[in-house]
Amino acid sequence: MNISLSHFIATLEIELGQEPGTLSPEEELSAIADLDSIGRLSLIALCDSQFGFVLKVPDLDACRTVAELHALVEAHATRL
Amino acid sequence: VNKHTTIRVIRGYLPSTVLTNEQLAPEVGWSAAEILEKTGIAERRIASPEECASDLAISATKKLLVEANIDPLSIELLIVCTQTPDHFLPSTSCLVHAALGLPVTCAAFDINQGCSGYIYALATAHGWIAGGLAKRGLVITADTYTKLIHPGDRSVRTLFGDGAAATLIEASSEPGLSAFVLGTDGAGAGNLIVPAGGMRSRCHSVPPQAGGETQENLRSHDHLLMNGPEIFAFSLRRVPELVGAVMEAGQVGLDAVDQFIFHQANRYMLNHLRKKLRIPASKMPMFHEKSGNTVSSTIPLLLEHCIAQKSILPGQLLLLAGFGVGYSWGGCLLRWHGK
Repeated sequence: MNISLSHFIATLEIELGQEPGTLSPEEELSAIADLDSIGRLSLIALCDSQFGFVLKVPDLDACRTVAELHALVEAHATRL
Repeated sequence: VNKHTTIRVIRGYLPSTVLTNEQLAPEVGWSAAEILEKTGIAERRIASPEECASDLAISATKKLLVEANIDPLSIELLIVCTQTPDHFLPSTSCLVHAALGLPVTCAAFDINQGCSGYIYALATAHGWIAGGLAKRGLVITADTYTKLIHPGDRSVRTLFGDGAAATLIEASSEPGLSAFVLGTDGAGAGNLIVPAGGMRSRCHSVPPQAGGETQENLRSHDHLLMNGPEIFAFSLRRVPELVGAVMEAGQVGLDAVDQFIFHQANRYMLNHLRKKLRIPASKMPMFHEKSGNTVSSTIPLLLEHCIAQKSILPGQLLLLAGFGVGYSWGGCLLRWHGK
């Protein structure tokens, strides 16, 4: 399913409570302070409610950057 | 043989020591308000060092026997569900049996299950009574998970509390408990586990280290380890299927269910499941703000609370669902006829 990178990043920023324009495609997930264990739950919840699939934790762990996470979500999303 | 069974009475017991978010905040690095916002839990009860599962179980059951005027000699079946037994052996049920003065003709055994344990114990009691092996049984859930938690592990310290509940189940002329659905996925065993303490590894001598998916929680193999994101993802995958399977088994639709009584893991998970299942907030009560996640006791404690508040009324159809450690899950329908 085609999810634009900008739309995904904007959605991610809202979910993680970050200011618009904070995240970039190259941003390393490990550097995002709000992506602690609760933040990871939020990400799983976001994928479920917004993109229609339950994110597998090992797949999430394999993502290094925001762009890689976007590619993962795009590959599994069943709705926009 | 009477094929129908029902729940007559439920009584819970929480230990007296209270651990508030204000007390926890300096130790876990979140403010009291943040803990409440993230978990929905304001305080949890902690068993004293001398207080074990049997003590909590006995307190809950004594309350039930006295307040409902039940003769202990009429109990033919005693099931204690716990994952924190007083001893490896004998079973906690034997200790409870002796303390309550139950008859020697009463069958007594433990079930080792966590968040699904209440449903597993109900299903077992239902099967015994419907099969004619007993007419009246006690299902007791009791756990002291906080004894397994490292003080520096904020991922679980904020969530869990200790507690117990006793439930009286009897043969009934009208349907009460029905549509049991039980399931297991042992592939998730490592995501909620105390690695040491059993025969696989009696005692782990390595000091606690930072662990967890983001290396923010302190624990050793002697302590409870929870992979929160994996447990959350499991619940999102499994619980909607479980709810659907129970409704199919009972041949009822979502609208026919008056209340959805889910295991009280935490508010975040429950709210997400509620929205995913399109259940109105008014049909999914919660009861964990003052007790935390008491594992197998969350469902009976919630039932007791709602019955006392008269938000569950005689004749209402309830869907009960427990899910978690194992992975293990179970659900059933309950037409409430009790007191």
